[in-house]
Amino acid sequence: MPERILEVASLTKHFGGLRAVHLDLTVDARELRCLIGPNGAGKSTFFRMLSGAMRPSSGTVRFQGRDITGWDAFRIARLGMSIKFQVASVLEELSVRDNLHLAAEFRFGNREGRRRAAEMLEVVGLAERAEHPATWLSHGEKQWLEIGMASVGEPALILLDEPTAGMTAEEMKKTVRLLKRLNEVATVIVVEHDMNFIRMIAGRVTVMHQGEVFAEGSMEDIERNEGVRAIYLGKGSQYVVRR
Amino acid sequence: MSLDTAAIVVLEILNSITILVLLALGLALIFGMMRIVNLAQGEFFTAGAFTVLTAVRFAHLPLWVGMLLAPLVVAGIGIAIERLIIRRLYGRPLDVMLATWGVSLLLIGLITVIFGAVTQGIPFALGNFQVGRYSYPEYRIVMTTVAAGLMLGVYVLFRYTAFGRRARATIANPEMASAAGINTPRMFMLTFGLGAGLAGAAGAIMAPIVGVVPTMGVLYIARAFITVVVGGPVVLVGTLSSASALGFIEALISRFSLFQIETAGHCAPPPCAINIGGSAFFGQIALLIFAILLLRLLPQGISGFWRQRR
Amino acid sequence: MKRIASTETLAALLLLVPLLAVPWAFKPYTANVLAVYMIYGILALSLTLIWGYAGIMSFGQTAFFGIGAYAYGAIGLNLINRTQQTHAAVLGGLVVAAFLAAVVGYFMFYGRISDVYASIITLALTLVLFAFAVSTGGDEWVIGVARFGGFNGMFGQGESSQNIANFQIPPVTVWLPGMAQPFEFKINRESAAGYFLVLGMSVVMYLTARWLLRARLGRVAVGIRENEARVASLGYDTRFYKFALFTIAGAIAGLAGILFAAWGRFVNPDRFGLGFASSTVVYVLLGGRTSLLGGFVGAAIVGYLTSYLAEIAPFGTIPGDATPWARFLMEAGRRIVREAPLLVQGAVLVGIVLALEDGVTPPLSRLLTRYRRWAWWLLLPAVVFYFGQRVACLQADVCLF
Repeated sequence: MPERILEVASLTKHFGGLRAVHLDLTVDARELRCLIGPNGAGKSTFFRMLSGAMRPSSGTVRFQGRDITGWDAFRIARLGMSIKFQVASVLEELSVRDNLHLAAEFRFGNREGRRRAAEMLEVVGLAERAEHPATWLSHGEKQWLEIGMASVGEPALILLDEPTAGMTAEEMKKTVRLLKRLNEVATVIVVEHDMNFIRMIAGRVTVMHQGEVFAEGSMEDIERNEGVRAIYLGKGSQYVVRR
Repeated sequence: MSLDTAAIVVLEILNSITILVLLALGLALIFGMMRIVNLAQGEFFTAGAFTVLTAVRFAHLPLWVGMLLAPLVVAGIGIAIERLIIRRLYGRPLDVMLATWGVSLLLIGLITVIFGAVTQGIPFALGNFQVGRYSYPEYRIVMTTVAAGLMLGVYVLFRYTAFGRRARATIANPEMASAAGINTPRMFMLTFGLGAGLAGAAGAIMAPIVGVVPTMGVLYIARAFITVVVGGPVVLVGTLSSASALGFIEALISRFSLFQIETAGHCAPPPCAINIGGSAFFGQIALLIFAILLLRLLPQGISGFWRQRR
Repeated sequence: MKRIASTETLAALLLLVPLLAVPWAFKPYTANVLAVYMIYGILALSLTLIWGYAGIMSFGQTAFFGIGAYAYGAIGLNLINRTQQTHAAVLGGLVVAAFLAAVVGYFMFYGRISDVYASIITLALTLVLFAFAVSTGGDEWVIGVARFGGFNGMFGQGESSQNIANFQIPPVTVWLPGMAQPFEFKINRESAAGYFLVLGMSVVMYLTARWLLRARLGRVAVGIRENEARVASLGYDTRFYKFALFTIAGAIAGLAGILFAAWGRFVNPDRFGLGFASSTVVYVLLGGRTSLLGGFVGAAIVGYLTSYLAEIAPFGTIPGDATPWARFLMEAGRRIVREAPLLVQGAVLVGIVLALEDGVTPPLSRLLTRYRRWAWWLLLPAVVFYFGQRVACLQADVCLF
């Protein structure tokens, strides 16, 4: 039985009186997991709670066997979880190289960090733009830079929130190759809207709806699931179990 | 402590709270509603005091007319500044701060050019009343009443009027508000004018008990800001709760000497000692220290803390 | 990279050649004035570090400047007559300023209060210190022989109450083992040592800041300014970096304060006041908040403008036969000039925020980069010639013009 890298139990977030997220989820080591669901399903909120950017109202998160619920973001990152945010948030005024260097430095120190940053420049295909400020990059390039920043510290778990938003078909293929490469050494959880992309990376899929796990399985299972189709067609309410 | 001493201490605490509420209310409104820090607020306060001075000294109007005029005049100044400067800077909170600081310096300079750098007094006719062995100025009770009235007025305005509903909608979500047909730039302008007017009212009310001088705003701005920061995001609850907490500390430390430090100075008559506590200045120091400690515990301010808990 | 480096060298030469020549090329007055601009420049540099790079606006850098100056004064006054030097005073000033910055920084950054709140807390801090310094006029406010002096500023008081001989804060005085007598860093007819101390410290602080920013601290600081949550999610404890940078900046501001107290041999509550606090922001804003040289440039420009405006006193006497209107206008003009420093600062703040966001240094350096060749072959020789001539004229009476 594979090691469980992430165990989420009854993780809940309330906004005022509204319950935005309430879910249980486990992810195995080296898995490539896709998280899908309609807008407002709570995917980004869930990610923010995992990475420490937001404190959960209740519930627990166990990462590599340790309870990290409510930890500060930087401590979670040091433990080996990294995140690419939904809105590309590269550090616009630093150069592409410095962005990667900064991401690698806390783990490997200055010199080794610089070497790893240079390697990662090749991997994400931005070597030619290394000295440009990140603000000059195109939308797709920023996404790759973020994926590079999320993976250059060799984390055990990488969270990617919509890595292909606004990409062309060609760029998306490149992103898929990049993801598979990352998955060789790390567990990856991807939030996506694009079904083509989900089919291409062919991992296990978890469907979220109204803050809860609605279904889980392979992409074929999910596509056959009547309830999931109904959600995406906007008629999901009858399938939702209200608690 | 005898009964009359206790009563006078309570009155002094009430007075401290009153002053903090007067200073902070307009500022909290602008900060809470528009998320901008208006460093020119102290000069709006000054402008209110000078309006009263002008009305009484030069136009020979009764004091109360001057006091009613002051918020209107200052609200006008505030609206002009919002139109000319702040409007261009929405979404750049730090730049707003710098620009309003510039405005603050310009206003101090301008007021000095017009009125000169001298301290002037405004005469008024109220006397004292007796509390046991102590006498206490009646005017302070008037101030407390006015402060309470202003808070009530702001509450009613935002709670029960069409303006209040629109303003709250604008604050909650400007984009949605403008989609619903609310003229959001106008709401911001009016809110800023209202905040300025409240500072003008505060300056007018306090003018008779302080020296009216172009730099008077500077003396109060620090306390006003601390009150707002400690109060947190909910305007009225925050202002009242933080003014109460800080006013309590300030009044107590101002009143009571805590301990003495003997020093080696050449005092006549000797001995030389510094009294820690027991003066208005130590009240202010205590207020700042207490505020910093409080913010370490409640970074969102008092009202932010309660809102989170709910 | 090479292009930029050589522009920097050029800029450094263009600044350093005149600055090194000043004590021999001009009267001590000029050296005195330039020294205080540089002291303000160091203060502005400390603000540039945390504001321009980490994005934390501190309205109260002057708090650390003032506390450094007062600490130097208090310790220096007590030591100078006993040990004939002020080593401990310099050290004490630095430690006190850094300590205050560390305490305030700890509460602000580990308390996670927002940046806007942090600006307000620092402003409140300097204003409360102002109120404190003003209220220390009484005889009881002494540390050893150092009187706080309230509004009039700090001075030393004779040891006995019968014979109160007041004395001033000492200049930076060094007496190392092996030296025959103590050495005072003063600026006067005989010596420009104080000037070179300030110039040297400016260069050292500038290089220190550059070195800090090239290291990890600098990258993290810029990252925090850009997107703090992102940097935290990379594994950096952003609170610590902010705290560290704030403390370092506090120490640098404290150093400027020490130099100030030693330069003017006095310190008064004005160093904590709103006017000085706003001047510091204006220096940085005018010079350019992302340029380490910007603070020095801004301090020099504002300093020069202010002293120029203070010297022109229009309508010294209003003629008796002037019409009421002319009289009114003259009086208005006179009052406006009297308030000019405040009005100029206010206008600069508003103007730069609305129009010229980067300040003057970045455009100047772009200009220099563009005409680098001309600057190397014409401007630099011209500067060297002019100052060489001034030195020759003042020192050996060889004057061309």
